[in-house]
Amino acid sequence: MPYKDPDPNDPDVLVGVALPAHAEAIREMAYVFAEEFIRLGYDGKHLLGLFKNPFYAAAHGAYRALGEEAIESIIEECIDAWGGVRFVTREGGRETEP
Amino acid sequence: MSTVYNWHLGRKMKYPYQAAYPKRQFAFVFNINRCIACQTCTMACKSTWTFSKGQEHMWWANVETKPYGGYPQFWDMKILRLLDKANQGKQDWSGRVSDDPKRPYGQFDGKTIFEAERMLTPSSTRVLGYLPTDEEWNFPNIYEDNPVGPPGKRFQYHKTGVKLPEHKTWFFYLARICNHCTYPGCLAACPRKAIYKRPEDGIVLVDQKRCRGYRKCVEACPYKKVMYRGNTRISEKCVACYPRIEGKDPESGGQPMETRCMAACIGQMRLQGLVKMNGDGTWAEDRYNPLYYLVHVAKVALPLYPQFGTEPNGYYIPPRWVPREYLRQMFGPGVDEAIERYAYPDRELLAVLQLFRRSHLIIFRYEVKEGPKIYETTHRGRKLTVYNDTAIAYGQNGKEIFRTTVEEPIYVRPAKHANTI
Ligand code: SF4
Ligand code: SF4
Repeated sequence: MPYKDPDPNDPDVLVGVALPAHAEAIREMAYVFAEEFIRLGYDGKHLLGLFKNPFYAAAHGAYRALGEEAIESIIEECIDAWGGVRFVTREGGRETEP
Repeated sequence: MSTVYNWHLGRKMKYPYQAAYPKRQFAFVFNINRCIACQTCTMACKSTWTFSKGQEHMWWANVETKPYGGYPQFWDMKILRLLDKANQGKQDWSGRVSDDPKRPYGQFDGKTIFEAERMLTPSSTRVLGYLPTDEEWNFPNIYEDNPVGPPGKRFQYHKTGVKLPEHKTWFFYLARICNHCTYPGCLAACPRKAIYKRPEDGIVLVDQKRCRGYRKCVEACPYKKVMYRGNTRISEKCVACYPRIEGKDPESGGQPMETRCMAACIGQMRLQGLVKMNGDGTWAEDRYNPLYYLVHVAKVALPLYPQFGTEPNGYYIPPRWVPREYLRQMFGPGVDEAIERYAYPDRELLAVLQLFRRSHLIIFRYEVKEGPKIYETTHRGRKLTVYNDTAIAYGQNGKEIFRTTVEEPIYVRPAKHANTI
């Protein structure tokens, strides 16, 4: 543990401080996670599971802020765009796990 | 002081030594959009290099939550503040982002850590910096994402269950290692000349026999990637897993292999290589080297805090969701173009993004074999066309390492859309 508690008057300690963000930042973050993971091969069910899991703080924050319906629709939209491809790697003629 | 050319800044810059460039330079691209802070990279490094007594506080590779955290705590805020103090309100860029490889981000008109004369005291000081406190080193990730007890009650967890402190706004994970800078601050500051840059690959090392532990390098590295070891009284830093880079790892078959932190990356966000250098310190044109492509052609990968002046060789694809002003401070003026291109990748960029983490061997060249169109759609108001292209990666010996291709669609339509197209 650190030697002292965080000092709320210390400008470097930002925990709990709201920073200005454009209103779309959280939606954009949700889109990025959805697109990246679908391109990595996730399906809709697993991706929604990731958003629902509090361990993934960023994705889960977006889930809570936007609600399940909005996240589902983002996932569906990204599956429509990127879900049609599966990237396969072949090393020396063998197919390998992505 | 000598004058050297810093292409990140688009201008000449003062540096304590004359310019000398390696034949090839160790460099890497991290795609922040994919990092999930699993810390596998951090542990891969720790378990390889810094598991001994006296190294407990050392994390040569680390991942921190921005803007909340840092290792050591507050490192970037502190150095930015020092620079601003040295040159109040004038740490600005001018010009435009362009295709000129000698000034791709325009020009930085402020002062670097080597140029802040007013603040360099005593007169023997060559680089602007500061020594982090033990406390700042000792608690990586503290108060970033981890649970803390109720206020005022230290060493306790919440009785009613652990509660994560929540960031109510944007944040992202910044993975960091030593940047094996072209103009290293650590090397510039060392009074014993114990730090050197290898001519073959640009890796920056501390000569453990020459070092006397003055910690000038710890003070001078703006990224805080040199660490002092109390029980040997010598400074240590990331060695870029040089035996792997040299192809000495038995697994590599004699071919250059990426570092441990790269190879371990779960998020598949890391790509590392060795780029060809020109005699003037700019990158030699090497159109089909994936790093050259990402930095100089697609321009989606940008240096971390280029304004510090060390010409770091770590490049980042910035996170798409973070306010642009914050990103411009961190990655310079190229942010808007980088995000625009990354968010709507063209055919070649999409193929090159597939090269990340498919093999542990270093890719020296890639080739894209164009295939037929698979489908066309619109995504967020833009037309998106996906092709069955094949990306082929070649190693140093010119032999194919692997190829990635696109397979037929595996789209499973949700039940509620079963009767729609
Ligand atoms: S990041 Fe720091 S330690 Fe690494 S080469 Fe640059 S100045 Fe030296
Ligand atoms: S292993 Fe990769 S995804 Fe995991 S924390 Fe490190 S950089 Fe991020």
